Amino acid sequence: MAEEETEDETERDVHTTRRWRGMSALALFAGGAGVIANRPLILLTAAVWVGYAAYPRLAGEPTVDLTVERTVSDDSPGHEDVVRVETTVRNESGFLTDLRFVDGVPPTLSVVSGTPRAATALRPGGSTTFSYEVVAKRGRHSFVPATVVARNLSGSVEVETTAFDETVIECAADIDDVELRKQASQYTGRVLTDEGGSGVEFHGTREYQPGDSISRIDWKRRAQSGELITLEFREERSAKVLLVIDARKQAYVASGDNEPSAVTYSVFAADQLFESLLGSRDSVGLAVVGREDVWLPPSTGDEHRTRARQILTKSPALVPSPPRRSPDEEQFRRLRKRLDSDTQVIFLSPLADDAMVEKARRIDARGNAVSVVSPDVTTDGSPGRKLAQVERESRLSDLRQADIPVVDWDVELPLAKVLAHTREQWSR
Amino acid sequence: MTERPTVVSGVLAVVAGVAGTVAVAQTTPLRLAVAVAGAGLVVFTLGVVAARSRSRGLGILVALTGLAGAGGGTAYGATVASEQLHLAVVAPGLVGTFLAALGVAPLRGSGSRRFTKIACWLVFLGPVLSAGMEYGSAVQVLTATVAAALVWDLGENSVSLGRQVGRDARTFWNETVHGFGALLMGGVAAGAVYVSQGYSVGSSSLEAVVFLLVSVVLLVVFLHR
Repeated sequence: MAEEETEDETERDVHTTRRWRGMSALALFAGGAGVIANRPLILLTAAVWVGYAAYPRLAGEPTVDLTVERTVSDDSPGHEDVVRVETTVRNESGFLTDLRFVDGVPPTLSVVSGTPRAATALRPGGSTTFSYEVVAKRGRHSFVPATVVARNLSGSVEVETTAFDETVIECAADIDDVELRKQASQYTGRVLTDEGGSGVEFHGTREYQPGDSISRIDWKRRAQSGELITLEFREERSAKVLLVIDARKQAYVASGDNEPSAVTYSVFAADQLFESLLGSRDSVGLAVVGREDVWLPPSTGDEHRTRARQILTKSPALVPSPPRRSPDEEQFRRLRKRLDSDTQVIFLSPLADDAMVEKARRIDARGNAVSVVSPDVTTDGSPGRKLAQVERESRLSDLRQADIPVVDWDVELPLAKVLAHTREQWSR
Repeated sequence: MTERPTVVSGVLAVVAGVAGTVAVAQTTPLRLAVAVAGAGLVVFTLGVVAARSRSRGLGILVALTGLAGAGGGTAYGATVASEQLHLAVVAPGLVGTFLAALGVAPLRGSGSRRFTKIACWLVFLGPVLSAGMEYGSAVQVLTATVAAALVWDLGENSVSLGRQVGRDARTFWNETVHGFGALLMGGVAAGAVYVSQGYSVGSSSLEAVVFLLVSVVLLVVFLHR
């Protein structure tokens, strides 16, 4: 059974806005001024302010129960095609006087027309629809949970939650083939081993042994010299791969204030790699190190694919905001315990600190072949940013020196293209 | 996303500032002058909104026209005011409304809650001065007080909505329901005060006033618990 550790319950964050706090000061000012000036009418205005100070108490926390339906004009568009998205939000709870909704546009896509945001009031059973357009990019883009903020009538209490409707925009030109390292499982597949057997690539010859397949006998040699020689081919086995997403606080780095964080790009890459590996009959699993421990052991099949997609789109560990803290030491220890000896690991990390380099090297040294895909979100603006860039380059070089293949992914370029360019690094 | 304050609440906050100031203007010519200046500030607000969207040139022209109107109205008010004190009652309100306009239609940035808060205080100074000098009636003073509260509530809502969903998003019903709630609250509170004022104003002994003050303080303390 898969030990998928995701939460189905939607998180709710309730807080007071304190927007009416100043009313008490106005009430006291009016009261004081009324007494000093001996003018009861001024004093009476204090009662109006007291009314406003009491206003937030009249309505409590709003109950939010929404359903979201999303339609896209084309769910498998071409690269740079404009896709129209129409989102309908339906209120399944009581009267919502103040509802603010930010649709969960895939962070890797940009909105070119309209806005994915709306604010309205909704009666019970009422709905609102809004639309906008995004430009498709190569790859598979899943919508993330939409952010919902509901306030009571006075605006004193704000409930922040999420609403989800699974929508995917899949744009052709995914990764065709992920070059893996030589570590393989016992099952037949596409990783070429150094062992002779039944494959397609020639490995060597040996003396015929009873039980060898007739089709592998070198009949030409038999005709020439009468010897019985068996041809050996390099055995091809499938790989067991674990994709590990770095979603620790340190990984939430971005190239600018409104730009997606490196975690978003890592999730995007994990989605594409997962799909590609599964399509090549490799056994693939998923782990997240960050806000919480997520673990989906390597496996195959459609059900497994669905589970992985649920993690990538809905897991609280992969939300766009960074965690306050992440118990990564404990998580890495658990990860190492869970790793089978024949599983190879692909880390998806911006390498924003030294910890990931050390973890990758330790896991590689244990015998699990490690590769790293690192989205590059550094820029060379301020001296601080420049320093981060230099530090990251030094980490890439440390990994390469430890014979760990690294794909340095310039996020402006499609991942498939970058992987194709760096393919040689992967097959050593 | 354009994180600028939303237009409906923003303009209504400025209108509330104008209404609160007009309510405490003492004479009809002064009321007219304040209304002209206020209308100029509303036009200025709309002009700044337009200038920061698609029609920059036209927006600047409209904003300048609005400012000219506000200046003209103020100058006219200065000439028609029969007493300097009449001017002193409306001046804070006009300054406050101008600040509210800058808060919800900022020349730069995403609006200012601080400006709308200061605007609320300044607009409220009008009814305080009016009642202090015994110029205004209870209706005028209470109307201006509710208007001052609306300057804050609508202005803040405009800034908050703008920051969360942006000016481009559809927000009309949200703003309308929110504004109606605040207006209703003010109406009920002011109505209750108006109904009861016959008793309190009629027996305006120091004891009654002190009793009222103590009640207000206790209520405020209770609300903050």
